[in-house]
Amino acid sequence: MNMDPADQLTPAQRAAIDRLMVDYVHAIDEGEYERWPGFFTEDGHYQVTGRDNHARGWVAGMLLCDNRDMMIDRVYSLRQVNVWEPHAYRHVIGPTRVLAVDADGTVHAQTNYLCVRTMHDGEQRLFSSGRYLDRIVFEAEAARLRRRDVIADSNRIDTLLVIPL
Amino acid sequence: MAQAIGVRPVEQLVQWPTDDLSRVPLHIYGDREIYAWEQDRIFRGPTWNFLALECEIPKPNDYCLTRVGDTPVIVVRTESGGINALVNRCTHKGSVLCYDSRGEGKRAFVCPYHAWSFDQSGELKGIAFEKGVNGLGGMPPGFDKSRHALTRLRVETIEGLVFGTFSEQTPSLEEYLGAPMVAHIRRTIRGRKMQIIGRYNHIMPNNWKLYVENSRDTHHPSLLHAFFATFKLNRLSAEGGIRHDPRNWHHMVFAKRLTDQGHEEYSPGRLRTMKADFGLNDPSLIAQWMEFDDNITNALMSIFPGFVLQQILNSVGTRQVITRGPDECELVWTVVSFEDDTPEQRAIRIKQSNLVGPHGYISMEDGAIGGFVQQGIRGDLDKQAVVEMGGTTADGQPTRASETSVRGFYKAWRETMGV
Ligand code: FES
Ligand SMILES: [Fe+2]
Repeated sequence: MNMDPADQLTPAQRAAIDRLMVDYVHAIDEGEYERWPGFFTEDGHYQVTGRDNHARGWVAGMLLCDNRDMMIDRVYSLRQVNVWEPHAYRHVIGPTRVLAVDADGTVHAQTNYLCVRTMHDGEQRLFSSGRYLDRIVFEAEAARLRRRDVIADSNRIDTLLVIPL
Repeated sequence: MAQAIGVRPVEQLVQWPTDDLSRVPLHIYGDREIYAWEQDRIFRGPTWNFLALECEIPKPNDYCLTRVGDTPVIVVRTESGGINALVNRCTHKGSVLCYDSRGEGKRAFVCPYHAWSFDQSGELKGIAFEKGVNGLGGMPPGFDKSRHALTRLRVETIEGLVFGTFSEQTPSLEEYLGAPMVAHIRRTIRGRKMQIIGRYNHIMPNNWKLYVENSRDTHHPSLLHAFFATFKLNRLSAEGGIRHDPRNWHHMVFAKRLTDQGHEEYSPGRLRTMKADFGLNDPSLIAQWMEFDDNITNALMSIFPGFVLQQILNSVGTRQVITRGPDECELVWTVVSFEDDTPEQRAIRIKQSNLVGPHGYISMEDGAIGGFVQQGIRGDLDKQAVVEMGGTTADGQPTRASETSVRGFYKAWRETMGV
């Protein structure tokens, strides 16, 4: 009998995961970048990589952060330090598929995304499609990311990647 | 070998505005005909072009695909362990032979279209139905397979970097690079075995030359990149300089971050890039170890036409410029660690890849700035860029407050283009 790993989660936990997914892309798409580090645990890990790089085990992804402080630095830098043409993202995400649940309760999950980038002058293009490969833990009532690998379907990045996906 | 078919002679297309290298005509950044001449005279001309890292094809019969300018190229490790580079174009009707970016066990290249087959040297070995069927059809008896080999590049390697050239006129790789560049490559790799840790395929909205210029623009780092200036990682007030080869085609710019004496241009409130209030919550990002006895913490070596060897703190890697038409290019970044790195050193290299690539605290701005130029020059292609800082020649200089390396690029460009 094949059990869906999602069945090991309580309805409250599943709802918490859904909230995390929706709130994450909402924060980024609405330009509330300061909220981005808060979706992670203190020791949270984030990076963006191409599918091919991921398959080859090349570990130096893009926007790589191995703790929340690094994410805070990134956000400060994109606001105050780096020079880039203003643009914004719009993510569309699919339903989350639970891949496994570890003995300690860590949830492995995958969520597909599409991200359109709109430049300040109105130019729009499909900037990235791919999947979030997540490790999720529960802190009090909330679900948080211990690790998010953004596996973009393409290895190519147009011009720059400054706002996290 | 020609892209410049049906286009005007290059002498009609480019008239250099000055006798020296202090001006660059802006129309060379957006012209299809000039672009076609660049393919013929530069990428297929007397230049060595970076193809791949040896570690990408470690075993016999491994192959990977690359490009030299627009031309698709197969790089294959032969049965006997050598490296061959062949144009990925079947001599029958022109289909690519390999259509997957890499693979193994390639003892022969069989075309997907009509099954002509070529060996690892590019020789045409077999034609399906060469003799026809039941004595009918097939190739004429006089058809000479030896005249239909794949175009083969000359290949040479240095410290695990594989280069190729189309021209018999190109001097040996070491002579082409010149002793100072050879010394710098050896100093950076020092025989260590490379392992790729990341690759970024960076599409830039600008002519390929604008990126190459940027990589050679030795006075912009602390003016464009606040990250460099604020953390005193690469300022003009640190000890540094520019080295060059005897022809002034290639340049290596370096800085030693620990020797920074400061300069009044960097005092508070003068430059946008000096951010008094920016401190890292996690400073481990820029914690480095002194990997090299010369105490150089930042070194960029730009080899004509489109190769860069990078050392930013402990981030070591290669950059390969690939043309994509007059107003777009691709930069392939490859960052590496070395087999004898400790786990801590490898972790530092991985973390410092945050400085480079399309996402790099520093390099993201280089990804955008070429597009800013490409936008800015619209409608003004009769104008010229001013490249006069540090004089009008392209020799080495003890300061980085100079555009000598950019002038060196245009020296090489003019000599290969013949204008
Ligand atoms: S195109 Fe290659 S065999 Fe015909
Ligand atoms: Fe730069």
